[in-house]
Amino acid sequence: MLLEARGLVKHFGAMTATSSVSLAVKSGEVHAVIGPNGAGKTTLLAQLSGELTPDEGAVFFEGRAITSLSVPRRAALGIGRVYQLTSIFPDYTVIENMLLAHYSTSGHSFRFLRGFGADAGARTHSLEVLDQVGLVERASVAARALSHGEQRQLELAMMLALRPKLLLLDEPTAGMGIEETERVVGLLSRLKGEVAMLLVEHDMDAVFELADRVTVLVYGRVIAEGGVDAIRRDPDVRRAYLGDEESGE
Amino acid sequence: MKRPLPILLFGLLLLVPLCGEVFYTRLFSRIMIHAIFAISLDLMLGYGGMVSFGHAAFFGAGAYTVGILSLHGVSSALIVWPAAVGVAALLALPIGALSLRTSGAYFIMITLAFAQIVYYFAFGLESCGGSDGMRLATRNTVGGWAGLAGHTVYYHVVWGCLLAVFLGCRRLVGSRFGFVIGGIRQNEARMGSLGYAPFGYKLTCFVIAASIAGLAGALIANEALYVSPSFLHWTQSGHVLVMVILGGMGTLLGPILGAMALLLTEEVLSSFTEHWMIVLGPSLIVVVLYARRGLISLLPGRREARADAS
Ligand SMILES: Nc1ncnc2c1ncn2[C@@H]1O[C@H](COP(=O)(O)OP(=O)(O)O)[C@@H](O)[C@H]1O
Ligand SMILES: [Mg+2]
Repeated sequence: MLLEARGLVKHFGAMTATSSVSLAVKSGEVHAVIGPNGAGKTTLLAQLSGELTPDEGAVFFEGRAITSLSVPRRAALGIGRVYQLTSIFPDYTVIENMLLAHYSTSGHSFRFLRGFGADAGARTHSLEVLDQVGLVERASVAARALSHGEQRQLELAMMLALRPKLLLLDEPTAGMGIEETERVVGLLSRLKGEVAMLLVEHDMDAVFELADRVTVLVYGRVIAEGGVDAIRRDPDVRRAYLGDEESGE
Repeated sequence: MKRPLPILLFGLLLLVPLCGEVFYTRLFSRIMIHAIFAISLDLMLGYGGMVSFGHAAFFGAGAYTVGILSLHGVSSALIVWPAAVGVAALLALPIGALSLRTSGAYFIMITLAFAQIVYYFAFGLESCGGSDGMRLATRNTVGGWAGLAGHTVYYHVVWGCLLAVFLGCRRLVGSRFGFVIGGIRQNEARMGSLGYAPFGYKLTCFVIAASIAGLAGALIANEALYVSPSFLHWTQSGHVLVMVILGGMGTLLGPILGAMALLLTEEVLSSFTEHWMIVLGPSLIVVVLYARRGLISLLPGRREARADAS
């Protein structure tokens, strides 16, 4: 098992945002977490990436307990995170954002003299990844000048440059247009198999296209877990969550 | 030419001693020393996003190193100046390590608090004249040569130091380390999730900035031929903050322009009226309102204040 969470509990004051949640992600698998707004999806991801410490329970990565490791330590183990709110370096150009991601995987950065962009290998690799997400032409544009969708793509590209084993994706297509959504979903489906993903997503078409397994979260609690088809048929899930989606169409 | 502005500026500075007035030579020596001090603060402030209100502690530490060593008969600049840099760095290590546990307004307050402790320590140093400070008999020597006593020679030494600091910092901010520091300023959480542990980088930046401030302190002690607790006063920290903000944060030329503009304005205003501070305050506000990115944004070909970093 690549990632395993056992009995996670997280309280915010009197409210229980995560209520004994367990889940497991195999290598190369895409595991979707769905649930209505406020269900505790982001809170769950934060406990897996290390931004929040669970009140109870444990997280294991490749069999090793990581519950008390910091965010940078978990990142170094191969856990990449795409935030719900885009998180990039606005003052830097697209390629500079990429280089910063690239260098985080190659030793320390107490290098004071050599120019930041002088490493041809790092540049080539960064441009390749940008090409993958369709942003090469924008390489020398300041990240703040990108459209919202492009910024999401950049964030995804930065995560790919880390060559993570597991990507934690928090609504990667949120706020994107149809075309951009298609591009991102296409990219993720091409990555499928190479890198495991824990995907929080509202777009059900995307979930059913990408995911191998689905966990349904409501009020911090897992109400169903299983393969895509089983989840589609599950009467509880239809009532609690998918029901209003279907009737809305 | 790719970088005409720095070349023009450093070229013009070379002309100052040619006017033959000791007053101007010494004034511009002081300006360049403060420019070094301001560049060092900008490494933290503009590049690293760390708003320190206690940078004078390191400036003063450099100056007092000159004073204390002179009491022990050590006068060679080749020993004293590196010692001043080292003392400032050693002082910065614990102060930075503790202050960087906080951020935002707390960081401002805690750096100020540490600087006040260092100030009162200097205040109580009886061997250095306590609150009055102490006079230095001569400037530091170089291999037994006392030539630095000449104001024109000293001016050129300071000019060389400023140039070295400017070029060194340009290297630094364009390096991998420099980009990591800038990344932490822009988005510390993202740096964490990329796998960078920000603390060590911030502390290193803090210590480098303090070391350069220590050099500026050694230079000012030699220029003025005295050391006093006033070098460490919190108003000194505020003064250098104003220089950086006035000239343009996040650039290396900005702090030089800021030091020049502020010290020259003070000089001119104080010759007209003793209430010069009342005039200076509002004019600073006007500059900040009309040139948000500092004086440097008013220069041609400088639309982006961060141009130096890219
Ligand atoms: N830092 C926090 N402090 C207090 N309450 C929080 C915090 N973060 C999230 N919550 C609450 O926890 C619940 C789950 O939030 P979240 O994980 O963001 O849900 P989702 O991502 O599924 O929309 C919400 O009710 C939210 O208001
Ligand atoms: Mg959320």
